[in-house]
Amino acid sequence: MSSLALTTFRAFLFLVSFPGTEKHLVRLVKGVLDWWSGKKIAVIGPTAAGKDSFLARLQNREIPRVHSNSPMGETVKSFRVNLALSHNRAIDITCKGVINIGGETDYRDAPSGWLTVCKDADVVFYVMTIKDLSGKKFLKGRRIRQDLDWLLTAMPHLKHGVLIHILINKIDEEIVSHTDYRALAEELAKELSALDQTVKTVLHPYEAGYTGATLISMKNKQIYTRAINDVLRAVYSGFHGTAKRKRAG
Amino acid sequence: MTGMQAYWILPNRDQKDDILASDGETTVPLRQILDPKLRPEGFSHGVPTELLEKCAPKAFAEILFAQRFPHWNGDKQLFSVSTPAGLDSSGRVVHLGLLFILEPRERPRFELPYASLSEEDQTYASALIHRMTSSGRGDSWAQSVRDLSELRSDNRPATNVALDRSVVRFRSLYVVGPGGLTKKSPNWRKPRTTAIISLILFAVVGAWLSVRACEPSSRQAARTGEAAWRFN
Repeated sequence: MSSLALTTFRAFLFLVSFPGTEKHLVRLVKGVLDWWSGKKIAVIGPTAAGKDSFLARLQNREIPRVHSNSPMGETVKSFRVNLALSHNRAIDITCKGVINIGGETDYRDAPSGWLTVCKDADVVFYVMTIKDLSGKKFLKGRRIRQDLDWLLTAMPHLKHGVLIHILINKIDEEIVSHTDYRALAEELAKELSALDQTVKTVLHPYEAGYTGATLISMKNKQIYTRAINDVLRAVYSGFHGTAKRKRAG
Repeated sequence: MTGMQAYWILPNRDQKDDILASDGETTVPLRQILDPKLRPEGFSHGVPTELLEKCAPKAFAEILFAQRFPHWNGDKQLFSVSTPAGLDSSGRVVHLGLLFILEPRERPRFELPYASLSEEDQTYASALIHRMTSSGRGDSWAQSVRDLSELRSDNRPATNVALDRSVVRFRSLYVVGPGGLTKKSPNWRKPRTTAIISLILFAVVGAWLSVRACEPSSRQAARTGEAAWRFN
């Protein structure tokens, strides 16, 4: 897991493990809730990375039986994301103006492609797979790196202060049970750290908007539920960090 | 004048980063034929997901989705037809398409060779060509594509079948529903209905005004010197 996401997750566990930190925890959860309300998201990534499945999960649908390689940009009806957080709290995000688009480079580079999808987004989710990570596709000249290069050129055209979060999907193909989630993160620490470093280097001077990478599985509901909670907190913490740095600057 | 150019848009069975195309002999990335920067908004390299969702999986083989973009890249027009063509390695539906770059009034001719395609792709290519060249009655999808190609050209992009989720508003000729593909009512019906309603309303209002004009007024006559005026 990226260092930021891992730190957030550990901090969260640390907070939970201490009695008397209820107030602080409630404040943290409330902060996440308030921040996410009404945010616009965009989902991009290579073909077959799991963008469609992510949209299905967000809409609390099962992954569709009829699954197609998306051949064109299609608008998705506005929907609410209702996620149960710990301590009987739920997060409710309204997703409006979502466009589902293909992952082939043709769609990335078309003016009506990824740029249109990301233009008004507050948070851009870039979905890749665990195989892309272990195969080091973030190295120069390879697909993930090309997409990051594209992202850098797109940044000036995106919403000011946009946040980027990477979702590393299909980890269910690497682990037997959802309880192995953290062990896998430890095992892949080296690759995750290299990815983190690459993203920060490529996205410079916009690297402050990068909120980390999270291991996830759209297919396995248990892993998904656990991971998406981490994602929401990591993005919120990333935003908080950026805001703090801006104030300090 | 260069005349019609035609290409197969090949199914992305191996989940490659680029969509591939073939002129019947050589296979190249589609971007070499259709620069992504020049690609019209709403262009699809296959059958939109919403059409697949509206049709039962056993009817997938029947679906033909066509698009027409007049006045593309100067005075050319783009015409494409696609059909589901099996599944990729993750079990997702992939698509085979035919792309035509045409002169302004040119109609697509379905005669592109497919012998150089993979065996699996050849099956779908042959079926597509056969459906588009035979005048088989009862193939409403093929008829809708023919109707689109014969459509009087205007500036708007058009599709053979209406889409609800497209980012672009297309003019369309047919709708797909639980009963299959049906032709939309001709557009002239709407203005005619509006005209009839307006005429009826006009007649009713006219009749009412005439009746009112013939009624004796309930107001008192106003005397102003020598002349007496009665106001209706």
